[in-house]
Amino acid sequence: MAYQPNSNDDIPDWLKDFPENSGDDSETDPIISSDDEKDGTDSQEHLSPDADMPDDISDVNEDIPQYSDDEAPNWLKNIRKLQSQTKPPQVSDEELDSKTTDSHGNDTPLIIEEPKNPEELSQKETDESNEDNSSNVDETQKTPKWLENIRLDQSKLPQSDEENLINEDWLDTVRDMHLEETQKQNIFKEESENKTEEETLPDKIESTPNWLDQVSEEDDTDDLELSEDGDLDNDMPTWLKEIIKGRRDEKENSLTSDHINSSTDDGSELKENSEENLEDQEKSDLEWAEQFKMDGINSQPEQIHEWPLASPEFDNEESIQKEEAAQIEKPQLSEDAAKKPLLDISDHLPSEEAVKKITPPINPTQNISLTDIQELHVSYIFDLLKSENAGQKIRNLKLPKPQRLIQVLLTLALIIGIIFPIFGGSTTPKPTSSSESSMSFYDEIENLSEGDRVLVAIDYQPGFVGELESGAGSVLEMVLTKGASISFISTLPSGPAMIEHLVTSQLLDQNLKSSEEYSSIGYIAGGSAALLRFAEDPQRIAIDYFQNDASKSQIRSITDYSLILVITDDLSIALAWLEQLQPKLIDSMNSKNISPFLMLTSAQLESIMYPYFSTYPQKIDGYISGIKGISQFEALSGDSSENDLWNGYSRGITITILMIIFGSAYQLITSRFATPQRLQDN
Amino acid sequence: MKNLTKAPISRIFAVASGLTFLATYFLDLSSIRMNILSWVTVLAAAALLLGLLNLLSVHIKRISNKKNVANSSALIISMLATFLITLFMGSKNPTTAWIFNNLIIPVEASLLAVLAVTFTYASLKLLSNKLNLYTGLFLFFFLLTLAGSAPIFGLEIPILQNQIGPWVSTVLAGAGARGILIGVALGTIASGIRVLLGADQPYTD
Amino acid sequence: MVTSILTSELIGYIVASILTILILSYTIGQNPLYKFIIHIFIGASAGYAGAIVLRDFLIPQIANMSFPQSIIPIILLVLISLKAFPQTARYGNISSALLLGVGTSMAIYGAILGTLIPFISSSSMIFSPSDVQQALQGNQIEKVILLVLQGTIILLGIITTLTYFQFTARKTTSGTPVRPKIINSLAKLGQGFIAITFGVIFAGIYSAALTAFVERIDFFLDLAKILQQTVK
Repeated sequence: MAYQPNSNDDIPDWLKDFPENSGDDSETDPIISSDDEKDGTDSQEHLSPDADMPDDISDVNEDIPQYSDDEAPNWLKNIRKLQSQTKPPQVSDEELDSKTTDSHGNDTPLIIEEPKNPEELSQKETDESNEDNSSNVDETQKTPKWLENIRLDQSKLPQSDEENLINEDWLDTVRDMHLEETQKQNIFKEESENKTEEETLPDKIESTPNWLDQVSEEDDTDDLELSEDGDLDNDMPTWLKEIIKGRRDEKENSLTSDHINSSTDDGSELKENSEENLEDQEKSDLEWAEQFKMDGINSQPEQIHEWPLASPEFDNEESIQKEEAAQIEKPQLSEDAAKKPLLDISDHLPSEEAVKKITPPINPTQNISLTDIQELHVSYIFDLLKSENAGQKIRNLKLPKPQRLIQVLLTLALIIGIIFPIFGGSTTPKPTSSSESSMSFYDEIENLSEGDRVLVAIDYQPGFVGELESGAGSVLEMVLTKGASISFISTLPSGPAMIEHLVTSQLLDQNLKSSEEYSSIGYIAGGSAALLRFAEDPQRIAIDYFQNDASKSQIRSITDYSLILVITDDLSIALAWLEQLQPKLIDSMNSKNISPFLMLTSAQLESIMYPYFSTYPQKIDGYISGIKGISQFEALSGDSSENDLWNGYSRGITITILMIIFGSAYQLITSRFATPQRLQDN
Repeated sequence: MKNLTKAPISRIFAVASGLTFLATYFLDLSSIRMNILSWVTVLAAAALLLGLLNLLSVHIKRISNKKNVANSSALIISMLATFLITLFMGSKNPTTAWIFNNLIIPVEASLLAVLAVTFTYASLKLLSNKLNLYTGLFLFFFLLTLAGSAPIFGLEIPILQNQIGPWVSTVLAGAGARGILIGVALGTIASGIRVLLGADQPYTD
Repeated sequence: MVTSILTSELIGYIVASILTILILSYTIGQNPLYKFIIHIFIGASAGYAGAIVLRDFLIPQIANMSFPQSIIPIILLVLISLKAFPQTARYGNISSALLLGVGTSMAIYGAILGTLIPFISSSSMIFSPSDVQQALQGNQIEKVILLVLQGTIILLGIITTLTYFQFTARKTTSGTPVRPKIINSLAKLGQGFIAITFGVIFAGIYSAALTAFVERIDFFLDLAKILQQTVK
């Protein structure tokens, strides 16, 4: 079950040269439970779940400090739970008492157990090899996804800490926190008025488990001074040098960038004293690197695999003494092995806990090491931020040839299908029945009497001339035949021209006398605000219109109009009328509209308008939608004249439906039998 | 904390004006409301003009950078010409009407007409691109509503055009539309409250 | 004079027809002429809108304001005009803030009064109680069943659609957020209602586009008639 790594690209040189198998991990493994030793309890009881894991995973887990059942992550608890079915749990009462839950009710690791002694660990190794493998299937089912992935894909070596990061969800929190901090710092450099870490960091820290807080505190306080005579470059492993070098490069780049020079706010000292901070940063890097040396690891490279101990967490006298004792018993390694310190422990991967120790102390003003994925994510965010201020380049959209061909064919089919029947003289019958809303609409227009004033809002874009203008013409023609006068208004700048177009193309036949039968308030700017203002006091928003005509000055409120008709294609405009102006029409006595409120909309708004029509009391007293609604209205009003649009539309719909049905079937069949190459081409 | 110190004056203005305006509804202070509304409508008109100035400056920059000179020049010339003609002659002037009726309306109507072709093409490709239950439902009810909107082959099918089509539009789609509208209203309230509390500042640069 | 008007009308028709053809050429892909026409169109639309805003609204509004009343709007106008220059743009935020603050209040008020209250207060009407009562009196059991079924569908549609927009989920032991099973099932049903609604709305948009297409074809037929008359 040991790993057979075939991809060592990301492994440091000194790690690549490790032998495939090594049985002496346990001898040198410094993770020794001092509590177990004191209490006389057998540490293998705690470690036994590893026996069911592949060796490589066991090795990883050995480097992770052992937790009590209650403190362990969920995946580990599951494994232990399974183990407890065969062996009685050895958890002490204190450990049980120490069980804590976070705010979400999830268990969180709190206290890291003391390292175990080497004898116990070697015993554990022996026990592991003798462990019954029958429970492996169940274990696999209960193990977390990341663990399963490792088992399934043995060719993939989780050599980098980033893979471990992905797998360990509770450690993700740590990484996320680091990432967020770095991102925030960088954002500070660009925008002086962005969020500070003071705002977000405490929240994050609060959400981290207690044990992590402890680690953070210790990291901050237990930093060791840089040894002046220490030749760090010679003693450090290659991978460590690369990290530090990378950081130096990053800082140099960041110093030369424009970001660092931008104006700053509190919490971004980096920008103000960038040079000073660079030195501090480098010093900090060297400090934590030097820490290994101070622990005597650098002088004895073959022991560098014990580097987790260098962290303050393990920096206690007892564990160091035990570690030294273990080192004495350890067999001497070859010269080659001495140069490459982890040579003797094949498949030894830095556990997540250990990786965490490499990172510098958690300090919002300092950079942290980022994995490739994290750096990629950071670059995405920066690109996003940059693109927010950058103008959008208009893409030169070139359609693929098949699409062009099909679109041309569709256009020709539609044109021929619509024009051809005209020469044959075929006509389409108007709808024989009308919807409830169309009938209500018609009834309200029918109820108009001579002298009534009708407010008509021309709130549609010029593109909808074809759909809405002919309908508006039919409706207004009926309004004029009832002897009512029309006042046009618009909340769109194109409104005045649309009003003129409508009157010229549709209503001139009615011998309109502009001053008596129709007038135009024109454009009122401000959208919803303008509508609300008009609803409450029409004379103040359309001063010129009302001042010039005494008869119009009688209009003091929106309810002075006998009927309000809104013609629109836009949902937001329709909602503005419904939400701002219509409530002013409601009669407080019976909750009904004092003046009927009607809508003539594009077909796309039909199902959106219906809920407003079906409320009780009705918000809309009637509406017609699209060419179908207009045809229904014409049929109701007894207009038997031929409607060219309706004829063409009916034919267009027939062709469209046929094309979509047969085209979809063809596409489905061809895509089913298409080769991957053809699919790619398509 | 930093967020609260960002653009404090603007924030105070937004929160104060928003809350004051909201209070005028409940305290029936219509005169104050009308005054605020008059300021807002004037500001909205000015904002639209600023947008146009921005458009103009972008294309002037493009010309100075020698990017898309022909197109940008055409835009600026047509913009200034239409602006000046309409400003001095008014919207009822024949020249203004000619520009509107023979340039703006045909182009915009044609743009909408092109959509008919591209939508047909998109509908053709829909099932082959993504075949699942929801795509099937979408396409089926799209075709059903189209078929219910007009006679097919010049023949009216009463059950389709008078019963099924309207039922789908009002009951099935109407139910979904109600849910969407309520959702939109709730979303508007939620995001509005964030602005009134000063948590969101869409008014800052 | 009559001749000149006819001529300008004819020229207008020809220009409009050429523009229409160039825009429809987009079906074979974007081309330089299409882009050129689009730029002219944007310029003309913007210029027209600007002139109307200034001439029909802004100037009359300011001109009709008396001195003490006009102080605040003029200050606000000056501030918002500072947004035109990058160096002073931040001072314009005050005017934008007023615009947004008031707009937000209006939106909240409108959403509550214009949509939420009417929809909630009329929710009892979903089952059409008066129609059901009438049907019961007339022993029309089938109609009663139909009305109840219809009401149930509408109620289900509203609830499930709203449920679909409920994105709160609990974190499972594996760390992945998962919605409760009931909510998930309702949300899937809601997704179906949304698919139907969007299908119907899309049909409406298609209908509008097709009408515009038919109108453009009619325009060419009209042009043909005019040209025929002119030749005669």
